[in-house]
Amino acid sequence: MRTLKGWTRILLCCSLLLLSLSAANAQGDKLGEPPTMPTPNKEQEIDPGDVISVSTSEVLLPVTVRDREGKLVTTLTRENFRVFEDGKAQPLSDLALRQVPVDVVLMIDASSSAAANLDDFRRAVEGFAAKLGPEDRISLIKFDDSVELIQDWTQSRVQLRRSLNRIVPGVFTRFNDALLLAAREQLKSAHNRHAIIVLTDGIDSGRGYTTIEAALKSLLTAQATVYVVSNTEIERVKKREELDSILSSTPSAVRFNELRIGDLREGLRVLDASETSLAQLTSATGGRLYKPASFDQLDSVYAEVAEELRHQYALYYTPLDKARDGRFRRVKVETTDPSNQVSARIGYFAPSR
Amino acid sequence: MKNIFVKLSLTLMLLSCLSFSALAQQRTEAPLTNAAVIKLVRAGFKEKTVIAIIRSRPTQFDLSPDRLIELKHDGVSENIILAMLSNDNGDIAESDDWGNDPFFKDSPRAKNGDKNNEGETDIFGMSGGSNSRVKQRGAGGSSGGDTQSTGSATVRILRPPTEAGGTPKLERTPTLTNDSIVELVEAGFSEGTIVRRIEQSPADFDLTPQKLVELRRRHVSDRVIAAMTAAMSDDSSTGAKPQSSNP
Repeated sequence: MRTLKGWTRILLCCSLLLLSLSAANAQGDKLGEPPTMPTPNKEQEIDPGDVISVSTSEVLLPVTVRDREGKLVTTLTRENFRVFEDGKAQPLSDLALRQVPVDVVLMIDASSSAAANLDDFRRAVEGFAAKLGPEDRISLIKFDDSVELIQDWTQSRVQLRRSLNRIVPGVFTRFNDALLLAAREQLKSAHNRHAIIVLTDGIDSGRGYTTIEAALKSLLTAQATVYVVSNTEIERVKKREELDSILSSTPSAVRFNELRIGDLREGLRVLDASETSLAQLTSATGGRLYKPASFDQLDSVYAEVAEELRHQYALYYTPLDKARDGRFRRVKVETTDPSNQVSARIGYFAPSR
Repeated sequence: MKNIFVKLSLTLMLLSCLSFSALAQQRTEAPLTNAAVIKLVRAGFKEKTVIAIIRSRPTQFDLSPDRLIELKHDGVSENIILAMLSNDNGDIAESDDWGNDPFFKDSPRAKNGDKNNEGETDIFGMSGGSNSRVKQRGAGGSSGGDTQSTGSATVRILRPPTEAGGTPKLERTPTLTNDSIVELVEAGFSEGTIVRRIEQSPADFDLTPQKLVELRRRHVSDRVIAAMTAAMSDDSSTGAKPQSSNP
């Protein structure tokens, strides 16, 4: 009996002790806050002069305009554009349209079927490089289970060709990491237009650190236009053919291949979802999603991207909202001819203090 | 009476545990600030411990130059400041209004939050058996029209575990220059190794006559110079190509 009584006391004491400790902790021992009275942190002190700082920094918007038939419109002037930021029209100066070189990060998914068709990729890239301007630069990133800068910025076609020979197929896909790193590490310069052209199926293996939203945020921060050359259509055709072939066989064969059928259907579903995601990614950055039906078409697709980059408008404006608050600001670009299709990124992040 | 005591004690114990777990939860969610780092340093934690804490927690640092100077004055070491900077770079600010942008309202990612949505797929790593409805288009006329098939297959897509913590890193193959070749020669690497390295690396060699003389003076062999020349040969920059005509 004594033992039970003793245990009861011990339990009661422990409980009271724990409760009092947790209450004390809850009051102010969080790592992010001081333990005493809620006095303002040093870092939260606001210098009145810092609340709103005026910046003359301009926003560069690469804009592509196509007519209703999808052909590039290349003859517009400043008067033909309207820019809205968070719904408010922004003034465009006489220097709103300028010629700006482009820095292009070429990216290849070395884990997808693209890696098995490297000759097509090499040919397409060399053709693409040949269409760029004298001040344009190219770098090359390969991604699979790692993200590797195979070639830093170059204007040399020989170095580019040599770098293409260094691509070796890998496994797994850090697609989101690759986008984030391309944006953060390679597209730091604020002077040139930034573009990324990536050959991939867009299916991230989930081995990396980055979400697609975070990657997109980095891309918008880097002011990069993303073009995706997706091999999803090529993969889809392969899977469909196999699926149709199995489904058209005898009932016993269908039963025997039940697992494979499920696998193929799941694969098709993943491809659909990936395409939706890639379409959003490219649309948000003002780029485009290409879905060639075969690797033979890479030449023409890369040539089309080069053509688009050469005829892209570099539209500059100084935002009316000059607060350096780091906030995301939505941007919309229109042309005076409403039938035109305008591609521009959906917004940008204001600089922070 | 004793029973009441026992019950009361157990209830209090349970309450304590609950409050602790709630507190722990709150802790894991509270981002680490400059002030918290200063507090840890002043509390006498070792540098590597503070860095480990920084890397394992969400952060919300103010790393403007003035605040960095303050951190330094408050005794925060440069290694810790570097860790803060590195963590801040890797930190994805999803707490701002960015995530609420209408653009994401219809994204597959947003929809994936609702696992009950039929037929939707998390392309960023899926697992488990599927109970899906697939809307198929006919492929090459082999199966025309929309078909609806209910899958019962168990498909498991392998998703290896992500390394804990950290930020992604861009691996770089260093670009070789004249100096790096001289360094390799002086370090005693064989001709064959250096040549292979040249063949497998980006290169930016200066092979003007003066530089070639210097390379030879620094004991770079003809074979290595030949490999360097091959790496740069036939070089035609994009400058020879048509002008960019962006309007």
